[in-house]
Amino acid sequence: MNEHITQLLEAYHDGELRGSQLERVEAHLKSCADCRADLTRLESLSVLLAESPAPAGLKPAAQFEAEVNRRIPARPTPTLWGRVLRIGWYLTPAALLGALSFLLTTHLVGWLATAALRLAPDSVLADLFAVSGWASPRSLLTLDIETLVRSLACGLTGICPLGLSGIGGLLAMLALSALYLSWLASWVARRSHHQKLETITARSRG
Amino acid sequence: MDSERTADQQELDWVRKAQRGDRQAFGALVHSHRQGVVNVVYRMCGDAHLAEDAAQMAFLKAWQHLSRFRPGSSFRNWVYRIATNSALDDLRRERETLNPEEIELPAPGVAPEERVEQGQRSERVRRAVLELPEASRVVLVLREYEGLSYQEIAGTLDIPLGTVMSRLSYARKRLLEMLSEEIELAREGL
Repeated sequence: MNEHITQLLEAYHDGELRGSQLERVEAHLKSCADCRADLTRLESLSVLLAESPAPAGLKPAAQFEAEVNRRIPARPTPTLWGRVLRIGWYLTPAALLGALSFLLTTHLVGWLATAALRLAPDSVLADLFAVSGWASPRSLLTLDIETLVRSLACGLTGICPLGLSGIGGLLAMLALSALYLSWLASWVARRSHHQKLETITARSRG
Repeated sequence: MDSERTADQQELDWVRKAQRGDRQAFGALVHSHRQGVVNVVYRMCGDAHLAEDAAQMAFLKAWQHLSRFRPGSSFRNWVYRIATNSALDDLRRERETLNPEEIELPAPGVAPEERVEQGQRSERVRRAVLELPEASRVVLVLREYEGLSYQEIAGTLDIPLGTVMSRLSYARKRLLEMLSEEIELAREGL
């Protein structure tokens, strides 16, 4: 009997072989008395083990279950703080992306305004950005559509001077991007951990 | 097949309810798996009372960590894993005080001679199993007494399939050596 069959013999005994491996072992057993003897020894061992009596003198099932029930503590319900943290965890990427989009937009509009003012100081676009809605709040009360649009456009560009323009703005965007990527990496790690657990449990299910 | 699926669905329902804190649903899970868990631990340690304590402890741990269990996977295998780990911990703690020679089998009573002979043979088998290394013993117990497949054992113990096969093979090889006389007698009976 070759060694390969020896290794397969236990798997055959345990009903673990399928297809060609099963056929191969069955064919081999027909022609190999040694392997048949080994298989009989494995079967005898299983019979011997099965003869070993089950535990005796155990508590009745109802008593066992009642004792377990008495010993298990009440399951703590999730606290409000825990729920807030959980919701916050899932809102974090949306908030980060929102902040990043806002900064990018303001920078883009700011850049457009600057470019318009420098390249064509007399154009309509330059005129649009030249009027600040925050500088003339009374214009909002007039409900004049054109003025309102100008005010909104200037309001966006007005964010830039609040310490977020230039290097500051760039650093803020980098920081937001880093935070978002960290969250993403953490999410991927958690997901792969759960997938690993699922794989293990799926394998255990056979 | 349908009844098996219904039973799986029922168990899934109990697990979900238990995860929400339903003690009655958890009680149903305990009822379903008590015998199997006690058996596994008993085969591991050879002491019925220790097995019951370890089984109860396993269910307590299962309750405490139920949120980690993923519905849809096998609750039985999960609780077996907890129980075997718990039993191994208990055995390590009690190794110095627990001696297989001191553990008594239930008295055979006024049995006929053949039954006495069978009792003695079972005792030798039990001791041989207890002499196996823990890592091999647990694989043997899950396979021979609980009928788990290699994949199920690998999942339950979180070890590779190849390790399951090698540990099982080692356990059987040792038992075949230790129980050669008993094996011959059993072969005659086959």
